[in-house]
Amino acid sequence: MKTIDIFSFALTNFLRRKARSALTVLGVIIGTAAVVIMLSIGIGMNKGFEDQVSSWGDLKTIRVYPYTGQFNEETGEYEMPDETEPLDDITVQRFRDELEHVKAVSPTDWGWSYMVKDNKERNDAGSISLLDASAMADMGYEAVYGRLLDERDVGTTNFVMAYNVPFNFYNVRTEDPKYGEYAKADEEFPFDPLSDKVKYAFTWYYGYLRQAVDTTKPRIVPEEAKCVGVLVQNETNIKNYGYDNDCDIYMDINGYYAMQERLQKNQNKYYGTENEVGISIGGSSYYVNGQQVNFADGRENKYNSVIVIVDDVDHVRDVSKTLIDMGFETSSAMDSLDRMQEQTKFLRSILGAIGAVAFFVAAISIANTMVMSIYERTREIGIMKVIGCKLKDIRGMFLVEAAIIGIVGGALGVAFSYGISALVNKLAAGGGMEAFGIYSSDSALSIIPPWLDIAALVLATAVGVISGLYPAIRATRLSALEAIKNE
Amino acid sequence: MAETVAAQAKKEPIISIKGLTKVFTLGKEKVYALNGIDLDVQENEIICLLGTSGSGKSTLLNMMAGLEKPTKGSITIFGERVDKMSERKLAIFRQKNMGFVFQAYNLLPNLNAIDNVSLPLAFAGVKKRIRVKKAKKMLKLCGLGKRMKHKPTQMSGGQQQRVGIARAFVATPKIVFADEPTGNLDTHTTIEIMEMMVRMSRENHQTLIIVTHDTEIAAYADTIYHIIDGRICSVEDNREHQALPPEGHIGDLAADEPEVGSEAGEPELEMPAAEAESSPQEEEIGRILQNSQIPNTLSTEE
Repeated sequence: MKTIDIFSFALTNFLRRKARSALTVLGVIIGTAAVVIMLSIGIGMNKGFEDQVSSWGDLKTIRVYPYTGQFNEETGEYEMPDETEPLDDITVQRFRDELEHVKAVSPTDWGWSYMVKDNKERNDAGSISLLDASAMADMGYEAVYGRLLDERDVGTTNFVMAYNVPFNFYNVRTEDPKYGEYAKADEEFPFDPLSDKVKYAFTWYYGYLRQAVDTTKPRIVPEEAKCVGVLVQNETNIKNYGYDNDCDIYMDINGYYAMQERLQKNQNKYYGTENEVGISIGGSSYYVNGQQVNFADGRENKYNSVIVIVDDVDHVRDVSKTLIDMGFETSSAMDSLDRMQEQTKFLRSILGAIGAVAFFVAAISIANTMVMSIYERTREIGIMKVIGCKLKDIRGMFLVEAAIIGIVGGALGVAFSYGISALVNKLAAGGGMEAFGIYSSDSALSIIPPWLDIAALVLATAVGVISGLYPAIRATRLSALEAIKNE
Repeated sequence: MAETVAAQAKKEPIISIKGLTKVFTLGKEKVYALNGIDLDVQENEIICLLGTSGSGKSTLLNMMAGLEKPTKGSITIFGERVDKMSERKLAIFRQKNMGFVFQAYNLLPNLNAIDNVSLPLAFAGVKKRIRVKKAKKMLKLCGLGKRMKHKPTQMSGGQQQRVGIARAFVATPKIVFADEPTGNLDTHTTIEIMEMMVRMSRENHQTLIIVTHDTEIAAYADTIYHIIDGRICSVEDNREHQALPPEGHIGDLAADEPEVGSEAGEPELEMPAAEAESSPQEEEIGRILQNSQIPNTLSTEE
């Protein structure tokens, strides 16, 4: 028998009992939709966590720390390595040379200082994000005005500021304009932040411009610095909250460390030695549990942490592992994500199981329909066998009919899932996400990726064929004699 | 007793049955459905297995078709042991060599006449275009030119059986089995159907094996085997008394005749029966002969 004839026979039989075929298909539709929806919710939850975690920090970013030992769970004692690799320029260079799939490596730290503009206004909000000026572009920053830091700025106090910074200067005396307000999307700057006429300076002295100058003490001299660029606003935040809350200054880490020393000296002159401000520069000394960490080759731990930005999310775990093998500690948003996803794995597998049960019921319903159909068509099958229909063709007809039920049910089921998915998302938008511990207003609870469509269709067809297997074999075993018995 | 008429045959028989026995066990009792049947069928021979209900004639036919396995004995068709063939081989064997006409017509209810007739060709893997063409030709030959698109439920018994005959003959099998082919039909239609089958098998040099309890039907055969209690109790060479007129070609039937075999059969019965070839046989057979002219007169009408 020609394949096309087998298909046409199967199709004819499928269309012959419309009500029953429709009901069976309905079973498959529900089964498919159940699986797709349940999985889509699982996927949506994962995506929600991902969105939530990436809002805390880029998923591709790994933070590297020196390895300082860990608690031995059996003895309950803290075990410290004899020697550990420090985070210094040698290590940074090593990361750049040896790690694969890495986009950028930069030491990182936080600095802090009051910021003074034109010796009249202050901005007290700014923490200073420290990085390697030469790596800034690779780290994914983007300037909306001026430029990013680059090789030229290594070791200098040149800085780049977030879009909000120019809006946060205020006159200390008059408290005008009010500070603490974030810029709206593309709001015009109150002044040209890159103009040569604007003078920026940093100081640690709280009373600067605020209190009358105590002429008995040495003069406070703020550290002058130059702004080279302004960063773009964070679009996601603008979209979600109407503003971007980034108020940071971005400066070369070594340039800042040098400035920090100068500021400290200046400050100490003012306060006198008895009130010396204790600051740590970088990580010159490192204590864990009261024990000093010994660094390899007598090197010093210059940086608190180094960040490694990986080219693709899929490589984060590998790079992380390599770093651990190299003798460092790492942390990444990916770790949190893994933890969160691990916690909801159970919930997701229950969802999956519900879908699987629905699918299983659909499979039984297909098998049942096919068996019923064989009972009804016993005589026909017998006639076909007597007239010379090959056993494999009879089997083929039933398998194809079952597959048709699977395909049609699967396709309609996928289409139906889109409707349900939209409905679920609509309902979930009103706080449903929080019920699952996902705090990301941006993501949907139910997400149907294209592969799920295809997988569902393939699965439905496969289930059709598999459930058709038994009836089909049964059909070939029917006695042809029954058909020609006179009645 | 089962000497057979092999003596007349010069050629090898196409069907050769030896010592065929079928035993059913009913409780403690053994029932012999067939008890040592020996039978040879020649090419182009029309044989009839005549017997009462329960005589074992249908069982014999089923075994020849490979639908039932014997307890003992052998069936050889075209040199192959049908009783030893696997289901799979049998399906192909039947597809190539056998056609079937059933008492209950056994048409597929959801298929129209063309599709029903082309079924054996479809099973043999013939392309749709070709098999529809053949089926149409066959249906016209059987006088159903106007009913090709009709489903079995829209046809009378006689018409359905003609579709059945068209289906049995469409693939030009070498052997056609007919199990009580006219059991559900009235006398008039019975004659039509028998004429048609005998003509077709003669025309194509096919072997026709008819199973019946009706002596009138048996009269169409070359050889009649009387079967009683699973044995062939007598063999009757019927060649000289055959019920079918020798002239008349199947081609004559090809004309697309209107309403043949339907309820409109009455007027045709008045057609001259005088043309019937006279036969020295008993009255019964004479009557059949007269009636047997009907298809011919119908076709020559136009």
